[in-house]
Order: sequence, then C-alpha cells, then structure tokens
Amino acid sequence: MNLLYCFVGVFIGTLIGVLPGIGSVGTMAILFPVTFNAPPLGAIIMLAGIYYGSMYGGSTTSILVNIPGEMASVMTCLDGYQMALQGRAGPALGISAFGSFIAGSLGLVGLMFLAPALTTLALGFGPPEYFSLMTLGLMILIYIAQKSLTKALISGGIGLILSYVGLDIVTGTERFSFGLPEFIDGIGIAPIAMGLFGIAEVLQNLETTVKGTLLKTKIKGLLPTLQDWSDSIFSILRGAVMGFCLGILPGGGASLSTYVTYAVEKKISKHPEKFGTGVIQGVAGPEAANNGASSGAFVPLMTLGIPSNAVMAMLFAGLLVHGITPGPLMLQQRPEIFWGLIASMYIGNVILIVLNLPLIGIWVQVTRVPFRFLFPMIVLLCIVGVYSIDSSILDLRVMMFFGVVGYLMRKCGYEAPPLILAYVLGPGMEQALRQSLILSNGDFTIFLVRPISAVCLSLAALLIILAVLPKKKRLVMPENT
Amino acid sequence: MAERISSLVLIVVSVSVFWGSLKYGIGTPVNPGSGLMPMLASLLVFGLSSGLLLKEIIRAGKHRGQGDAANLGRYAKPASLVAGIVAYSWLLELLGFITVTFPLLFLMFSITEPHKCRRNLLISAVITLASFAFFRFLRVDLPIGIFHIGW
Repeated sequence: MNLLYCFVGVFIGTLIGVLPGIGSVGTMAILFPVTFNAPPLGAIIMLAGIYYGSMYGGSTTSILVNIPGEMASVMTCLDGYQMALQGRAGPALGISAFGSFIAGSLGLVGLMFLAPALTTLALGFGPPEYFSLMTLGLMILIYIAQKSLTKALISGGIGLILSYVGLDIVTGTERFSFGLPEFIDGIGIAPIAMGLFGIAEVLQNLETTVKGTLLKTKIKGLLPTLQDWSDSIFSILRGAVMGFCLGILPGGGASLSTYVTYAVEKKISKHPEKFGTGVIQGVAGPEAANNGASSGAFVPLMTLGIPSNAVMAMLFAGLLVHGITPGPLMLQQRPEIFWGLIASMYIGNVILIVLNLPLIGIWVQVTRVPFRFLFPMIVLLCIVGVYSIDSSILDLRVMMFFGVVGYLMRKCGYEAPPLILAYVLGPGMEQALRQSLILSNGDFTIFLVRPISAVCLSLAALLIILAVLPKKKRLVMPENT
Repeated sequence: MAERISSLVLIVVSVSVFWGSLKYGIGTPVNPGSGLMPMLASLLVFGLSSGLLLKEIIRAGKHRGQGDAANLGRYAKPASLVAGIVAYSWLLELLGFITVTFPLLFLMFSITEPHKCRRNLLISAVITLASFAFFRFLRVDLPIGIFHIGW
C-alpha cells in the first residue's frame, strides 16, 4: 500500500512539476485532506513524493517550453531551452533526469547518516535553542525573499498572529476566535494554504495568462552520450553536495540551491561565457542541486522538528495531523516513519526515472493542456478538498478569504511562504519562549548565555543588519541572470 | 494607492491585535501571559507597515500627479470567480453539490471562453457528474441539498 502512495505522490508531483501555474506547496495543500484518511506513513510518503517528484517534472517545461514548471527549475530554462533549440532536447531531458536521480540518491545517503547523528545532538536542545533556531529559520526565509524584505517581515508577522488564533493551551484563554467554536482549535492550515497558494494562483493566472510556445521538435536520444556524461558528471556531483547542504539550512531550499549551483558552475567553468547558450553543465548542476536540496530539507524537519521552508511546513502539519511530532524523539519513538520515508524515497527516485524518460511523450502532451481547462479542476479540487475536512462551509469561506488575501498580497508584493512558515512555527516559538522564561525566572539573557541559542540569534541579528544594507550588497535570489 | 491601502489595512489589523493582546494579558517575564506573543507580532507588523505608509506618502508627495492608471478591466475575471465561489459557499449545503457545482463550472469555463456556450454546458455537466462519482468513490461526504440529488 505504501508503494501505491509513493507512486501516486511522485506521479502527481511530476504532473504538477510539468504544469506551470500550481506548485508543489499548492498541490500538497489541495491533497492535504486526502491524506487524513491515510495511515501516517502513507500520507507522508505521498506528500514527500509530490515534493521531490515536482523537482523532476519542473525541468520538462523548462527545457521544452522555456517556462519553469517549478521555482526550482528557473535556472534550467537558461541552458535547457537553448539546448532544445539546438536539437538537443533529448540529452537535456536525459541528463536532467539522471542527474536528479544521482543527486536524490546521494542526498538520501546523506539524510540516512546525518539525521540520526543530528538527532543525538538535538536531544540536548532546550527551549532556548528551539526558540532561537526557529527565529533563525524564519529570518533566513525572510532574508532571501525575492521582493521586499520589509514586506516579507510583515508577512511573517501576520503568520505569527494567525497562529495564535484559538485556545491558548497554557492558560485556556480563547484568543481572537470571535466566539466561533470552529476557531477554538485555531484556523486550519489547509484552508489557509489552499487559499494562499491554490486559489490565489488561479486568480493571478486568470488576470494575466502566461503563454509559452511548445518547441516543435522530435525528442530523441534521451540517453546521454559518453561525452555528455564526461561534461556533466562533476557538475552533478557538485550540485548534489551543494544542494544537500543548502537544503539543510532553515530557510534554504531547492530554489536557492539551484541559483548558487549555477553561479558556481559558471564561475569555475573554463568557458563561462558559454553559459546561457546551451551548455549541459548549466542543466546538470541546477537539476542535481534541486534534488539534493529536496533530501537535505528533510534533515531539520526530522531531527529538530523545524520545517525549513513552506513545503516542509506542509509536511510538518501533515505529521501533526496524524499525531506525530517531528523532532529528535520521533526517531526513537516512531522509527518506522523515518526509515519508511527514506526507503520510499529510494523507490520513488527509481519510479521517477521510469516516469520521466520512457514516458516523456506523455508529459509533452500534458504541457499542451491550456490553463483554461486546468483551473476549474484546481478550483473544484480545492473546494471539495477543504470541505471534506470537517464538512464545514466556514472552511470553504476561510479558504476563499485567504485566496483573495493571497491574490492581493501578490499584487502588493507580499510573499506567502514567510506567512505559512511563521504560521507553522508560531505555536512552537511561543511555547519555547514561555518555557525559556520560566526556566530562567524571567531572565531574557538565557538566550545569550547558552552557546547554540546565542549563535542562532546572532546569525538572525546579522541577517537583519545585512538586510538594511543597500540592495546590491545583499544576496538576493536573482529573478533574471 | 495600493501600497497605501495595504499599509493602512495592516496598521488597523495590528492595532486591533495589539488591543486584544492587552485584554488577554501579557503577564510578567516570569509568567508570560496569553497576549505576549500576539502583542510582539502586532508591534512588528505595526512598525513596519507604518514605515511603509510613511515612505509611500513621501514618495507620492515627490511625484505628485504621477499616479498609476487603474486598469480595472483586467480584474473582471478574478472578480467573477471570487463572486462565483462566494455564491457557491452560500448555496452548497442548501441546494446540494451537483446542483451548485454545475453552474459554478459553467461560470469558470465561460470566464475564459464566453462564446462557446454549448460546449461549456456539456463539459460542465460531464465534469460535475464525473467529479461527484469520483468523490463518492473516495467516500467524501458531499451535501445533497433540499432536492436530495445525489443521494
């Protein structure tokens, strides 16, 4: 049965990756209610499959249509599409799939060895360390915001406020529930996420339709040649390592790793001027990085119980729904979840190679489906999905509200990922802060006298200082390279 | 204009949350209350939103008369969809899934291709029935409404 969940997850993930418009977070939000009836391991396997499956699928549209199917596939457009124009779409797709497979597998090895070791370290963490680490994670995500840092901070603040709606478990006080019994347990993450990422995306695409021209070329030679392997193997290995390391960072993720990897490959290349004209390293490196990062992102979630990005926040919520609290104790108390997930990811990677290479013709046809046929399905899935949670019309209205909010946020330059991450981290941060103050008898210096906490808060403060520097000095994810 | 409105809305929200937090009590450093974290978050949002509003007012003052032209026509499609789903949420439990989903789907297909009426009707009907069967297969409990259609 878990194999079926794995297959469904990676298939849907690949489909979502191929279709520009709705990303993996939106899809996970839409399918979130479906996982409520599944066993915990099956649910997590499916949600995880959607994530790393979308990393594979995103490269197809990047290479063939010059539109990234996923944010993490933006860099693949630069050289992938150029390779396709030169009649080398097959090798581009092939090296992308094989590079993703190699990096994903290496990332899993890293996860297998690093996670148990980090868990041992994390068992020594106390409330001050958790509070500081969560603050750092939130700050990193805000720091690398594509648009305005101030607005990303505001989004994070709003996310924190939303997370405090409902019953305070310490004092029993009902906060901001306006007398509605449905809000006593807080606002559900599914309506918020489905609204912000699903409905908002549909509304935005209705306003301005993105058009791409599918390259009319026969795709042949999917298996890379020896020369292709020779040119790209070290890029794949570098991408895998960089992606994994960057994916571990709270606030990091697949997108950041692809930008960094592309920049590094260009820097160390003997012919940097050729990047952007169709060099295979420009495809191999970023594609390996995004799959390495997708494995690395599981490390802070599984070992510390801290989601490092919006996708992990959804997985975090998915585990909580099934009564499993991610963190250092999960490996001890529920090892079958961790090791079952690892095993499924190995199998998922193999399934993805089969899906992405021999069946590439099917995905090419999928890219032809116009948005005007897709969005009614997406809306219907969102509506039924959110209604099916509690058969509550209020959830539907909340989703619609956040759909409009998400749409207006995009119009005004506010980003949703800081909001959703803050929403997920908010209760944990509050609990950690309160416990820390009780431990220290009200002394705030507890966050500074403990070394790990002090380091994390110092890094967070450094990010704020760097953020107020002029834009050209700040590391910003480039929109155009 | 959008910047000013969004900043004002955020200021109002943050002030409301701040006020509410004080009512819940922020406690003491030794025993933090329920209102502490909401208060801190609201202060963050208030401070930053006020800064943005001020910046926008100064910018607008320097570039007086250079406002962006509002092109309201492009919001027609998103607004139609929002209106449709709001109406859907009011009628779903009253009239049932099939009765309400069909017009919603018809609206959605008509938003992008209003001239293909017959085709939109046909596709809407097919998808409504297919989706009902699919969700029933998944044992999703869908409302049947006062007409008991789909029971």
